[in-house]
Order: sequence, then C-alpha cells, then structure tokens
Amino acid sequence: MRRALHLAWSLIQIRHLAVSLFLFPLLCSVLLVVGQLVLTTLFIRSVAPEAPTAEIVKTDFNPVRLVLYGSGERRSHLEVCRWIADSNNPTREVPPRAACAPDSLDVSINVANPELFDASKFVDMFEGQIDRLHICRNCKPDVVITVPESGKHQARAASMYGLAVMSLAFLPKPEDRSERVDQYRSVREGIGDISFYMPEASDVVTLSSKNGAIPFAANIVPLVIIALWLSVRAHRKVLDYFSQNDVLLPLVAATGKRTFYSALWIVTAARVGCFLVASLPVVYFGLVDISGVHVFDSLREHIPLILMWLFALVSAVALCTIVSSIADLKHRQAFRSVLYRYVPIIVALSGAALWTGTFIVPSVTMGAVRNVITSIPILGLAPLFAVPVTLPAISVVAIHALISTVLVILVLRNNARWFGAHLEEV
Amino acid sequence: MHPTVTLRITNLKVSYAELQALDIPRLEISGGVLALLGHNGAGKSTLIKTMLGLLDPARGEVVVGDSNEGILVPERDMAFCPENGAVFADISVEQYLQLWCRIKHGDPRYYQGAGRSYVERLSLSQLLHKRGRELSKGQRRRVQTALGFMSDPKLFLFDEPFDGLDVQRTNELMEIVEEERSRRAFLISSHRMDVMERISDAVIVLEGGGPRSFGTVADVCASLAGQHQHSLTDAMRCHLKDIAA
Repeated sequence: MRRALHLAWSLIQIRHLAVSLFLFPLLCSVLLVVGQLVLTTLFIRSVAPEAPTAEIVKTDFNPVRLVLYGSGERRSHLEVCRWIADSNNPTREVPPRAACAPDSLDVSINVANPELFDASKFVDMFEGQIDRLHICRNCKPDVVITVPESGKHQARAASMYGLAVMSLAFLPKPEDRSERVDQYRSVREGIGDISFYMPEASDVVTLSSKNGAIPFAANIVPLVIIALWLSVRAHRKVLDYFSQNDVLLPLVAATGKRTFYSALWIVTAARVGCFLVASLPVVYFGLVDISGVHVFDSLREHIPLILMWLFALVSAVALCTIVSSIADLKHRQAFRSVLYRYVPIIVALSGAALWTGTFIVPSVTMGAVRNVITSIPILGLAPLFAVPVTLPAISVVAIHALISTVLVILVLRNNARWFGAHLEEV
Repeated sequence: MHPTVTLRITNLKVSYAELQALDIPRLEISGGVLALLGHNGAGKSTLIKTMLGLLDPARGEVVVGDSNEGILVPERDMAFCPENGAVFADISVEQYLQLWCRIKHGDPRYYQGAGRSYVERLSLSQLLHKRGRELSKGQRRRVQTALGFMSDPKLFLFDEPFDGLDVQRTNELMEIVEEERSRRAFLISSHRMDVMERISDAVIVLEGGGPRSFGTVADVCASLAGQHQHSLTDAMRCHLKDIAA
C-alpha cells in the first residue's frame, strides 16, 4: 500500500495529469453546484404558497378530466352527499340516496358531524370538476380530505387517479392574478397537507410538506452520478495518457501490476474526493440557505433509510458505470460496444416505465411489484433515485445495495483480470 | 565472472483472445546476454511481456533465476526498455527522469548523483530540457535505457534496441552492453543477427510462437542450417531458404 501511495503521489506530480485530473472536477463541481442551486431555487419558489402552480387556462376543457371521465368538459352537476346512519345499524354510515353511490373518482370530506358541516368551501373548490362530494365520517374513495375539529386539514390520495382528482381543485377560476393567489391559498388551506398512499411505503408519502425531499434527492443523485463518471474517466485518462506515450508497459513492469492498479485507484479516489469536497459543502449550505432548514427536517425521521439510500445509490450507479466502461474497453473496436454501453441505460429506463406503470392500478400487489423493481440493480435505478420521496421499506433499498455491491465486486475482479491479460490493448 | 540468468519455461501458452501467441512446451537456457531472435509475429515481445508479468499465461509458467539460484521478481530485479522507448510527450526529459527516480529510488535527484554516469554515457545532458515530443525514436530509447540502468536491475530486457540505429549508435549501444554485462544480465530481442552474434552467449530462435532452436550460437547455427555454417546470419538465411524450398 505504501508503494502504491508513493506511486500515486509521483503520478499526481506530473503537471499535465494533475491539471486534467483535478482542475476539471473542480470546474465541474462549480458548474454543477451553480446549476443545481439555480434549479433548486426555481423549484422551491414554484411550489411556495405565494405562487400558484396552476397555469392560467380556461376551465371549460381540461385534459385531466378527459383522462378521468372520458370528457374534458366541466362536470354538469356536483352531487353533495351527506352520509347518514344506517337505520338497521346506527354505527354504520350509508349514502343518503342512490345517486350518492360512491365511486373511486369521488372526493370525501371526513368530518365528525356530517349533517352540520359547512361544505360550501369544498363545493366551490370541486364544482364542475367532480361528480360527487361525500360528507361522511369514514367513507374512503380515492381522495379523502380529513377535517378535524381543530388543527390542519389533511388530504390523502389512494392512487394516481386520486392525485389527478385533487389537482382539479387547483384549476384557476378568477381572471385577476391577486384573486387567483387568494384562491390558491384557500385551496391549500382547505386541502391541507397532501399525502399519497402507497401500500409498500414505510411511511405516509406527504407530498406538500416533503418539498425538501425532492430538491434533496435531485441534488444528491447528480452528485453521485458525476462523481462516478469522473472516477471512470480518471481510469481511462491515466491509462490513455500512459499508453499514448508508450510509458504504460515500462511503468507497470517497473512497479508491478498490483501496485500500479492500486495507485490508479488512489488517483481515482483523490479525483472524486476533490470533486465531492468542492461541491458537497456548497450544496448543503446552498440548500439550507435557499429553502430553510426544513429541507432536512422531513428527512431527519428517516436517517437509516437515507443512509442506506446513499450506500445503494453509490453501489448501483457504480455498477452501471463499470459495466458500461468495461464494455467500452473490451469491445471498443466492435459495433456491439455501443450496445453494451447503452444497455444499462435502456434497462434503467424500462424499469422506470414499469415502475411508473404500477401506479395506474392502485393495489397491494402493485406495491409488491414496485418493491421488486426497486430492489433489482439497474432495473430499479429510477425508483432508487426517488427513495427520499417515496420512502419504501429499508429492506428493499438494502437488497438493492447488497446485490449491487456483490455485482460491483465480481465485475471489478473480472475487470482486473481482464486488464492484466490485455494490458497492451488498453 | 559475469552474472548470468537462467530462463526456465514449462508448458507455456499465451494467447490474445483467439490468437495463440506463444506455445513453448519446455525450454531452459542460461547466459549473460540472451538473444531472442525471430521474425515479426514470432512471439519475442510476448515472451518478454510474459517474463515481466505484464501478460498472464493461459497455461504454464516462466521462471527467471539468477546465478545464485534466486528467482527474479520483475518489478524488483528487472528493467524493460520497449521498442519505441518511452517518454511523456508533454514533459521534459528532466521531469521524466525525476518521475522515474522518485518512483524507483524515492529521490527525484538520483539521476544527478548516483545515476549521473548513465546520463553522461547515453549523452542525455543535451536532451534534458527537450520535451518528449521533440525526441526521435532513438533518443527516447536512450532515455528509457538510462532509466533502466538506473534501476540497477539483475536482468535488463531490451525489445528491438538496435532497430533503426545507425552504425555509430549501434556500436555505442553494443559497447554499453559489453561494459554492463559485468554487473547484470541482458535479454535482447532483435532482428539484427550480425549484432546479436557478436554480443550474445546464448540464443533462442522463436518461430510462429514456438521455439525453433535454442542454445549457444554454435548450437543454434548447427541446428538451423548444419555444421558448415559459421555465422548466425548465414544460418538463418540458409534456414529461410529451406523453408522457401
């Protein structure tokens, strides 16, 4: 190890290598951090209550209604159904009339006393957008808004359709901008915190107060991807630099293969470390400064999951980049190198599509399918990126991390053997 | 008594993907200057790289021992100068020497002290401030040769050192080998039969990845073309005629 450190230190002192190995990641980190902070600021401002997210559109036709009801036109009539006690079993609630038979696209307001509750605000909110508004104690279609006697309201969507129904409440009605802002605030206040029910999640996925999780994930994921890309490039850069100058063979012969590869890893780690040291503190303080400390508040309850996520993220992205890099090295003269290089991306995109598709049918089975996809390396890369938001069980993330790590070790061992055997071809 | 090395090869097979580059069932040879002869593609460079541990054999092994029955470790006991020499294009010769001296001796100024004689012997002083890209192939090889000697190896492996050298430079290099053979052994791969005949005391002739002949110069001449041939060059020429016939 001492010899490898000594060799790495000697290599770093070659001016050309030092500049390209270390100045580039520093520049990269500055650009990344600036880009991320600008995007994060824009995102946080866009979801802040001061700015309505809904676009100014005429509400006569809406594509969400088209998807939900088969017609984009405003719904003709909103049936307000105040549920009553069953005459046979007073503890049980029933709809007041046949037209009030519940449907999954309905909205229910769960209140302590349905008969006396003033639902006018919700009627304004959903008039023309849905067919039935249920006022009840416990009825649960896909959208349930719980109104406690005191405290904040809470809305829960049980499916993607439910989220779409909820989004209809935000469609702007007034033309005047200040009135639209008032309407947006009123809807936010009426609905309260929005949560999304995923049967497999370890916690309720609270979308409105989890605004911090999205920028957190969106900032960390590119950091990991760029760090690993830099590490793969560092390998190639050093090997190419040496082989182009015919120095690779004499140097490896003079130092020994093991020492040389160890030195290569040390140089790579130094390069990635240089990038992370330059970018992480700025990202952290930038996030805190822009959005306030609440970015990390919501994640603090899930520290083991977030740590496991970081581990899984590094091993999963490492696996993808190593597979692509080895394929590139081994088959760079052949057309199939293109195929190998992009296979991980194609598999990851397919996994993302499958995972998204499972939300169409809300069920426990689909939750299990999501877990399976999330736990498979490469296929589950996109769901893995979203872990701070979706909060799956820690075991699912741990399985992903474990399989990825084992595969990384296997691939690296084969890689080292291959390098040894094909040093001249590098 | 000059130092010698013994090369022992058992069941060696080395391949590049589908192509079998070396197949040597058994070979044992000793000498102070070993010549490795053969045409392009005969397997000379592959054998050198296998000896250096740069290529892993698919089967078998190569063991290099010294006169004290010790086994030579490539990174500790051997130095290698490739066919084209080796200097980074964008740094000066001096910086390159410093890098190697730092790696091998932990002292970037070694070439100005203990290694100075090689810098002078190989006329590197006037090249010190030139960048790698400004050097000719011969100059690059001189730089790498000096660095090889500075590593103080027990065995110096030269890949085609005389290729492209004029008469004067060839003689200079031969003189250096003659001088140095009292300190270390050499294994030199070359096409130059005339030169190798003068400086080597044992020869391996490779053909198509296998040994065609090996032993002393006289043994190899006899084996290739019969007793009446007096020089390696003639023997090889005769052998080629036989193949063509």
